[in-house]
Amino acid sequence: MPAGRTVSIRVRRFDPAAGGRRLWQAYDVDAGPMMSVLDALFWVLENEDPTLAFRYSCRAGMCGSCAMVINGREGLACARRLERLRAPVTVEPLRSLPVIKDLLVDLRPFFEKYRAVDPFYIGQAASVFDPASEPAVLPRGDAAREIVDRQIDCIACGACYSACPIVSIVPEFLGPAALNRAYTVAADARDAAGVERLHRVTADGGVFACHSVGNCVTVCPVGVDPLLSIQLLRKGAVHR
Amino acid sequence: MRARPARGRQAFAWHYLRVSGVLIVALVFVHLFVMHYASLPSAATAAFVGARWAAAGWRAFDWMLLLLALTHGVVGAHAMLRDVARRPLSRTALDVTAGAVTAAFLGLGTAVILMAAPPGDRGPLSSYTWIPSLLTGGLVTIATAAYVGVLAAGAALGMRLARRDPIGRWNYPGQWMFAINRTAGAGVLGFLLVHVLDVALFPFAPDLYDRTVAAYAMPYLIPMEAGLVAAVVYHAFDGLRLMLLEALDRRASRMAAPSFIALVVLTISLSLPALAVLLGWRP
Repeated sequence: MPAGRTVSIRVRRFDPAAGGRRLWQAYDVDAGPMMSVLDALFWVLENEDPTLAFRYSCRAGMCGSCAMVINGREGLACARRLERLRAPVTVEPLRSLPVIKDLLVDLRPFFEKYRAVDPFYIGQAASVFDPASEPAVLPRGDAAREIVDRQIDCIACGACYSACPIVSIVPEFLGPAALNRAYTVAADARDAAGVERLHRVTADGGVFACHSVGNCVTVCPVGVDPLLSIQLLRKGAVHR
Repeated sequence: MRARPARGRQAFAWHYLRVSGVLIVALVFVHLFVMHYASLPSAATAAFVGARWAAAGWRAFDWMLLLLALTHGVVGAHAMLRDVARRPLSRTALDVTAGAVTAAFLGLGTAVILMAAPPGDRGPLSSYTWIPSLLTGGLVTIATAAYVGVLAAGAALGMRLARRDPIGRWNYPGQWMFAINRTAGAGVLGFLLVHVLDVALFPFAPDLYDRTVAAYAMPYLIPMEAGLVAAVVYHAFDGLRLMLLEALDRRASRMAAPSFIALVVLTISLSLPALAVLLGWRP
């Protein structure tokens, strides 16, 4: 699609105050060069409909706030260029999450599951500032660390959670992002909560609920591979 | 990372499906070759079964195939349905049904494999002439459900594409692989149950068994039979793909689209000879 022309976008609207019906609304956007889907949503907000609701923050593909479903695929609205999308461009809220209004979803179920895996470092010492605490020495080229270094790039945007069919079928499934985070902390040699964490992620609703569909890998906007983390967590459970 | 034993229903299903899948795959391909490439399902008459089961090795082979296919199918179907069953009563009913189906069909199949054929063409159930009609009706029902399901799904997808409506997660190759795997598994399990019942006629009424297997030559059933071969091939290779993927500590999951294309090509290539045989071609 050449830039600098009118581009039709169709937005999935939902307003609980107006009866709660989900419907498609089309807008013709004056598309400038390099215009992103987020820019187009701002154009609609400023020129057509000030009631359109969506979430955003950094506008630079770093924070994950503007994750939504664009032309049927999860992605960051700020990182998807209109000229690279087939028109009419459809924009929907993330799946498997309650819609608050229009493109704005309630991320609480996502973060509740994230929190369930204790997604933070739990060290053996009371504090890293404890004088008795020895600094960790990692060998150069440590394979596990190389994987962790890649996997900690997750920005918790929820795209993988939305793309995962198991999340929509099995409500208790923790989801790709939470399990990826569990791996990154459990694989840390200094982690003091590894056994407990592994116990949690191998129970029902954890890594064995995953069917290796792989949509999470396909959609991740920052190139994280949650399925790899899930596989490694399973191996941690299998190779005991 | 120190590890803990995996626990829970999902962990059991995950392990069992992989172990039984590895054990069954060679048996399944031998069975497919004998019944669908080198011969025709409708040619598996009582005389054919009698000659085959005269050898203890074939009896052991068929019993292993029954045991692994049935338990693999029931564990898979149970895991699939248990995931969507919400109420405790539904879950209990599912558990009981899975156990009862396994016990009944494994018991029946084992008894049939162990029993000797009657001396003549007729057996104690030969006067129940409605049985072949019932079993053929079951096959026709499975075939009709499969044809209607495929047509309805295709029409729904086609309409969405024509209207340029989003097609949900069907944009992703992984979604197709997952859905086809489950559909193929469910279809093969459904056929297996009917198949155990029709083979069960062999020791009790060989004449009725012959009438039942003759129904496999009905033109209406041929697309379903070819589809079943394709379902078995797809399910087996997709299972192997998943296990290979899980064994690799690499980012092999990025290979979703190429592996889906490879799966489809492999399935079609290996199913076409079976279709040709069903349509009357002989090598």
